[in-house]
Amino acid sequence: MTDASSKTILIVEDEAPLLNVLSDRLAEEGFTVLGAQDGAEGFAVAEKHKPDLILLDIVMPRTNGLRMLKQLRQSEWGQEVPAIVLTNVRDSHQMAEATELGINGYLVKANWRLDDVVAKVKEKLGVA
Amino acid sequence: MNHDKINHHTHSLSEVQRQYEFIVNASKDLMTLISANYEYEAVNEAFCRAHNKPREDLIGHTIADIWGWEVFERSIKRHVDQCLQGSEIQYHAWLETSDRGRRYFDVTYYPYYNSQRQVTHAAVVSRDVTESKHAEEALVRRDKISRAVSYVAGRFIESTSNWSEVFTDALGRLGTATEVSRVYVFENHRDHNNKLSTVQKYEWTSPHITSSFDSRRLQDFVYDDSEFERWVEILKRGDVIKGNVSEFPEDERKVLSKQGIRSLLIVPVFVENEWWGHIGFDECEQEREWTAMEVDALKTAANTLAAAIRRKRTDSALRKSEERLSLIYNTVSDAIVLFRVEPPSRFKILTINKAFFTQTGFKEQDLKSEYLDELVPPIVYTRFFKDYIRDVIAYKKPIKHERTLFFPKGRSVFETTVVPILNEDEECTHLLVVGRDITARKKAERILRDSEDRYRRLVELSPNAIAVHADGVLVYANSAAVKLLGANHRSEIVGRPMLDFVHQDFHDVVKNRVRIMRSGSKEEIPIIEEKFLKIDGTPIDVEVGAMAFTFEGKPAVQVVVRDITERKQAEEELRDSEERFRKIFEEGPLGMTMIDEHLRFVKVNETFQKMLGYSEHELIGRSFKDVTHPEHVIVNTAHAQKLISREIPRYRTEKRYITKHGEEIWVTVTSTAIRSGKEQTDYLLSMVEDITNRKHAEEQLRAHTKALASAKKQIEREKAQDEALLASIGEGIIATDQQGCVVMMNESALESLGIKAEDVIGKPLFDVAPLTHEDGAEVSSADRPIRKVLVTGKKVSTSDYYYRRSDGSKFPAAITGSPVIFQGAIMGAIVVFRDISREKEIDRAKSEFISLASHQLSTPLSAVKWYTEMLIQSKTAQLSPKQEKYLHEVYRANQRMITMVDTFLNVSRIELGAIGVSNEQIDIKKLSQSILDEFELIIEEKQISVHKLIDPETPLIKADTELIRIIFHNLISNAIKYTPQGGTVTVTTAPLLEVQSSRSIGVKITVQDTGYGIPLSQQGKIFSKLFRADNVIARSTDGTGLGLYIVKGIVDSYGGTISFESKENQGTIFRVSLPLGRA
Repeated sequence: MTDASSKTILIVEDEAPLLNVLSDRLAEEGFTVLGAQDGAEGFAVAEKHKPDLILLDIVMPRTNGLRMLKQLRQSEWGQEVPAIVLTNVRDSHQMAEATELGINGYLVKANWRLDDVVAKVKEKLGVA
Repeated sequence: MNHDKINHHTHSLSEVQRQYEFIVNASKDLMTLISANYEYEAVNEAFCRAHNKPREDLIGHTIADIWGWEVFERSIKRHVDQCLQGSEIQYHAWLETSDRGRRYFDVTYYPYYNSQRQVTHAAVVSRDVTESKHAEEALVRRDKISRAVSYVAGRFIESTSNWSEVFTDALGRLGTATEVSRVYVFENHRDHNNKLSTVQKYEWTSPHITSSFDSRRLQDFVYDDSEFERWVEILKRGDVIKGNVSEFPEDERKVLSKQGIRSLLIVPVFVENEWWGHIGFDECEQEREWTAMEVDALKTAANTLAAAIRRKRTDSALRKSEERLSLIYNTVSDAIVLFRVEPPSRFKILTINKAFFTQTGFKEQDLKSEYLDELVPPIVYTRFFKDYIRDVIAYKKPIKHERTLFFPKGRSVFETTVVPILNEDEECTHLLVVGRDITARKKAERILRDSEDRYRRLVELSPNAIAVHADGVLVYANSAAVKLLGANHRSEIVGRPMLDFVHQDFHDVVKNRVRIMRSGSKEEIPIIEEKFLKIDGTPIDVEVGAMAFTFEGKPAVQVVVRDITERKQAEEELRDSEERFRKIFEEGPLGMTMIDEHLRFVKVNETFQKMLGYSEHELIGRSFKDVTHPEHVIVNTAHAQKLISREIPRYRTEKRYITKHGEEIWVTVTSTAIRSGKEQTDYLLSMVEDITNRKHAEEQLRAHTKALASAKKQIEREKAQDEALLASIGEGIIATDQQGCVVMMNESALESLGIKAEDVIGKPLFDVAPLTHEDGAEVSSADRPIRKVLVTGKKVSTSDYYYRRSDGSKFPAAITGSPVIFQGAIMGAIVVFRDISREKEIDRAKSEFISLASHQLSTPLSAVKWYTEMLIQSKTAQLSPKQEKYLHEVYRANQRMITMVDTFLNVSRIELGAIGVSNEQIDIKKLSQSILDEFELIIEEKQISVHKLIDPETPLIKADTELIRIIFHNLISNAIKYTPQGGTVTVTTAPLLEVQSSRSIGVKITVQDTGYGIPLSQQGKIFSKLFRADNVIARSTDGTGLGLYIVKGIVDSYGGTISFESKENQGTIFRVSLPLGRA
């Protein structure tokens, strides 16, 4: 098991309140947290800081989550980075599209407690 | 008015009198006191004003002075006289005033009593009612206009045929009602320079107005180039232009007054929100006011006009298709009834064609209602029409039924096709019911079957060899023919070329005969002696009769063959030996006769005597003509003579003899001349064979062949009718042959594929109408519906593919391919398709809407959820226990909100039909477990024992996991929620087995609880939207009443079933079956 403080998480979420609460909560756990409010920004931050895990929303202005994920998977660095989709869109098409791009979870926000989201992140990163 | 007060003497100046005087003079009513010698003794101010004279010019003057003698003598004198005798008199009158025109009055004469109670004067009070009279007139006029408007509306709505007449009539009504000189309608258009112009379409002028309008100029003009540019803005925004021309801007006034117009009203007409034109009213005789009431009524008229125009537009668009329909409607002999669908489920008859009455025997007056459900007995309606029509409307496809029906005409087999007629929104607005009496066809088919059977029986039993050949190949041979040709079994000869069995020398004869028959010539085909070859090559002498014939739908030749080898030999031998001749003559199986040159019987054998029933001595010496059927006598005699004179060597004929008992018998007679006896006299020797039986058989055959032909004709005629109907159907219909080449395409198919019939007939369907995937890639040949149909012989339906039009564009289509099977073989295929672009578009829009809504609603709820969570868990915030409790309440309420949003979205999904997007393999066994796991906490809390009976054979199904999850989730959640502490919930899954084959065709799921149950009285409603049972509401307010509604919706959408049993306070069991789903 690794220590949370050595891990960086990027949250890509256009809704500021959700972005804030998520980063607060993950920071409480000791993670280094980066934030971005749309896919384009998210991609740039990811390329620059190379986070250990990305939490991303789908419906966002400009570049949406799926497009960002696609860019990431086609880029040199981002092919393997764990990504968890955190969205409120429960559309099987979207779900299938995201799965095809390689994701480590498709979480519907309204159905997931913050604690469980944190647990999921920790599990993926092998953090105690 | 109080008389007593006026009765005071006017010269008295007491205060009271002054007050009275004041009131009298202030009154607007005209008041006078007239004496017995007809003089005005007192008048009030109003009276003076009305007559425009000072008081002193009136008082003391007689009525005749003021009104003139004539008026006085004619009326006033009489009124005063009557009044003085004590009567009160009332009447209406008018007075032409110098300044205010004609005024109307209600006049009353009151008798004036003096202190001695004697009538001394007449007190006259006249009330000016001019204003109220005008108001009344305005009301009357408005009433007239309103009535005209409603009449006009009626005309516009009911009529369709003659628009111009309707318009002129309508304008006339409006004109008369508004009392104007002219009413007209102008329509806007763009001229060749694209400038807004307007043109007069209809006009009415009042009869006493001579039309002096400068027609050219004011009937068609460009607004910008005219004096009326100002009007565009006003009319465009829906305002009217009205008023007296004298008050109009100068340039407008000039033009209008030149036309003699004094006053006008222009009301704009809007059609489908666009300024279409205007309706105008001109007054040429006088200036006039246009009251608000009139304007309102005329605006209504303009609206009605707009509605009529809209209708007219639709009408002319409809007319084309109506014409096509009416062509069919009037030409076919099918009964046709057109119904209008009146939601929710009534059907009103719009039209019935003549054929309906002739086909059913109904009379027009028999139809007591316009509604289908009232026309037929309720039992017939529910059993036959209701479901049938519901299906037609639901599937939007024509459906055909065959029923035996009882009509006034009698019992008929009726084939009914109900064709839905859809509007732009794909809603079924009308039903076209096409009925056809197929009793005759059914009968013909039966006769056809029967006569085919009988033909075979008859032929099979015939002692004569009978064979049928078509296209040069032997297609049928009876047992006698098999034997004749020396074969052991039919299969050795059937299927071989017919000429294999004909001797080389006779090939030409046979070919020639076939040609004659092919040509359809009515020529009698003579019986010919030929040589056939047995299967081993041995020649046989035969006699062949041939007949054109239809065998299994193809032109063929039926031949009747007789082996005449023996007879031939007999003939040969006859010539050899006299002795043998005698023997054969006397003992042979054939009738034998010898006649002399006078055609008298010289010798007859026993067989011949038996044949005719005469004894030898009755025949000898008589002419053969005596026993021959009169029809044959002349021909036979001629031939006999030719034989005797040796012109011909042999003669053979089929003829009839008349027996002693008067019966006709058919025989073949073969005659030849011989020389016999010492004198070597010439005789005719004849061999006679009785062929009556064969003849009868042949005649029967002929009759049946005829029946066959007429049955065929009947079927062909109906085929033609079917084709006419096909052409009118809105769906594309394509027929192909076995190879998948186009045989027929109807109008709709050609139109939607953008091709012409002449370019496609005979070509492979795939070349004509290429089928592609959504991305434009061509569908592989194995997947094409037409190929599947032709290979498997099974019906195929798909909505997955697109047709590519000749111009390269494509459209999604719902395609159904059905095989055409005739006598077990696939003869071709019928492809029916429909453009479903719109449906696809709507589907996409629906799911987009739902996913957007779900996202928008859920996001703020997620925020509340997570922040509350943070607060509750916060280590830094010092929360009092009360605050913490509040936060928990917030969290729970939000949680409920989330669940509810979820539920409502699912309801929308079901109601918009936007469900079942994905199609995955689902393991029901695992799914049920994972849902039970979700409820772990509450199960533990309520100490509910859960039983799982999971059959390992439960198959996988194909469906949308999310939706199947919802089914389980709701059923299990209900079971747990409505079961008290310590109860039991049982979940089972098992395969659903087909009864006959025990094959698994789906899954069965049950969820059972020992809970509160559903009250019996409410069990009928549990799947309705927003329903919650009383006993449940009493226990908890939590719940939306949507869960089971959603479950039912999902189960239905997958073609599954759901049922339940429940007893209050004992528990409930729900049973769900789901099919395996599409592969």
